[in-house]
Amino acid sequence: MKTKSIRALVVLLSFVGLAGCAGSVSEPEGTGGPLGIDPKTGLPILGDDDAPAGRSYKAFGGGTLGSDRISGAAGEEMKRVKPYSALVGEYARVLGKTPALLPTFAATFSEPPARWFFEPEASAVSVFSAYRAAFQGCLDLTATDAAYATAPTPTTAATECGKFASRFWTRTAGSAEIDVCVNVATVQTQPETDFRRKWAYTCAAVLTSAGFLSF
Amino acid sequence: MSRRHHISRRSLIQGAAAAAGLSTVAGSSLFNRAFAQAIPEKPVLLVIHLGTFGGYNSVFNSADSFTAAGDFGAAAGNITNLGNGLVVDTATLGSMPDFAKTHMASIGMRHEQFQHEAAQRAVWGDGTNNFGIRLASVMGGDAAIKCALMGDTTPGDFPKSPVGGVSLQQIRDMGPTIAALGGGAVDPLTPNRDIAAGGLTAAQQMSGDSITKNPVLLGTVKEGYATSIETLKKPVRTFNLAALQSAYGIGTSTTVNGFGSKMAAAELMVEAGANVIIATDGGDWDTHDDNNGARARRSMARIMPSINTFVGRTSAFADRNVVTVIMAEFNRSIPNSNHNSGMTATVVGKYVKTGTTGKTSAAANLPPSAPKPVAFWSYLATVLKSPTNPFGANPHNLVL
Repeated sequence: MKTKSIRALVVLLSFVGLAGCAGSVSEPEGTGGPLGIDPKTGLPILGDDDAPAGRSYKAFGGGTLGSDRISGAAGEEMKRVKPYSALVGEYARVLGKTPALLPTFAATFSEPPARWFFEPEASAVSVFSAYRAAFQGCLDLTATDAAYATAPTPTTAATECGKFASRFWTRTAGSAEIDVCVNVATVQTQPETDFRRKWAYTCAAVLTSAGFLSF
Repeated sequence: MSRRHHISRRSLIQGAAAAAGLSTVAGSSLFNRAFAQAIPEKPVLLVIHLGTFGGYNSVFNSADSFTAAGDFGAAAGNITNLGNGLVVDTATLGSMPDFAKTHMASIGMRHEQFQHEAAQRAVWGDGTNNFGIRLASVMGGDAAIKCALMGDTTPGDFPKSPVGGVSLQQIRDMGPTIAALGGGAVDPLTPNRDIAAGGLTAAQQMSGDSITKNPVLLGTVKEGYATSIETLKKPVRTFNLAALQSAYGIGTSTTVNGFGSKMAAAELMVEAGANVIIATDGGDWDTHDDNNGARARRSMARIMPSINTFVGRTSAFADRNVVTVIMAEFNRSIPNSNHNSGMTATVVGKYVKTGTTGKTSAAANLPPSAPKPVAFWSYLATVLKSPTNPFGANPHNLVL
């Protein structure tokens, strides 16, 4: 008797649930194309009605279930700060070995206790620590290659900056990014007299960019 | 204008020299005091928030409210009258250094929120801005890190967005923090600070596209670049890490995780010139059913030694006006130590007048007329002698 009552209740609730959903599905939203291209991001600007393949469901209260959905441009908010556990492998992947300093930065990079997860966040100290680790790793990277035995020039710096970017960011650097990197190599490092250290500073700047520190 | 400035500087130097010389010759306490008062005091606020989801039992800072019924274990024999209506729990707040016991106030506020998150939002912000970060942005000073979080623990619902160009910077390890401030050992692997500032500026520029497209998820990266570059441009600071580790009994550890290390790091940031320092203790503070106060007392007993060390040491800093606050999102209620609609905070500082505006009823309630949390922040700005108070009038008249 008790089992029958529960079954009846489940069946009744199922019908109510179906009525609440199936009876109130609206047409898919989004019929037009993008409103334009955002000059800031280079991404398409979608209007409120242009969310691709989105559906709106009426709620029991008369509103829509998507009314509190946060809208944003397509392609935005896709990146995350790399956690320490990822950085350990990432430095080794791009440099060939892990900078010796890195393990001392586990807490600074917010390494969570075992079986815990924290969404990593950067800070002034973690950014500078990343630069220190990068500089140490880059000193090794530039220690023997003949390309780093002479002072950077605008031409050689542009070439090497492009190589650093491809290696660290897994993409081709834009011309503006190359210009910034060349400026580090040829201007910012002027106080440094050791050519290989000049290249290491240049390498460290690229390796401390969001192209490497996030994914 | 420049003439007045010239005369003022000369007068100040002459006056200081005269005072110093006379005090040396005659041992004059009058001149010693006048000279001491001429030292500019940098205001610093430390806020200790009890629990990611917690509460601050008012048996500690309104102890006499509970002796009649014996709630939360209060009794005539375990309370201390500090004067001007302020009666505290002897074993905890009554164990603080003499400076604290003569410069302590209980400040009450009502926010009418009974859920942790809503109450945390109420005591920490106005719905948009974090009051602590906002205060840090108007307190002046020249430190690059003006608002610092000890470790990475915050109250559960805690606004973190930058205010007035000041962002909340996490201090998770004292070693790398000291290195960033310029106080670490220098070796061939240490980058030149000027070149590093230029390198990070370049990294910031090369990250511009990613940061623009990910303003929320990479928001801390954006703030991290800006503050680290600013830090590298400041004069280097030296710190005595071993002395801090010894004072707070944390061995040789530099990691900021336990409460002792958070207080050690807080003192480090006081020395580094921070304006507002926030430390959240993640212990047992949501003490439901704690009718005899035993759980709350255990938690307080755990953190008091480190708080006492911090207050004892920083109150001796002649060039700092350090204000220390113990608070949570609400008091515990009677019966059953549940959530209350307001909170009584403990405030200790050089310009704090002993007394209370946070005395609760025997039922642990604050009066309906108790000021809102924003008025508590106005009080903090007042006792800090902040050059600007963005929180309106201060109704808590416990100021020296």
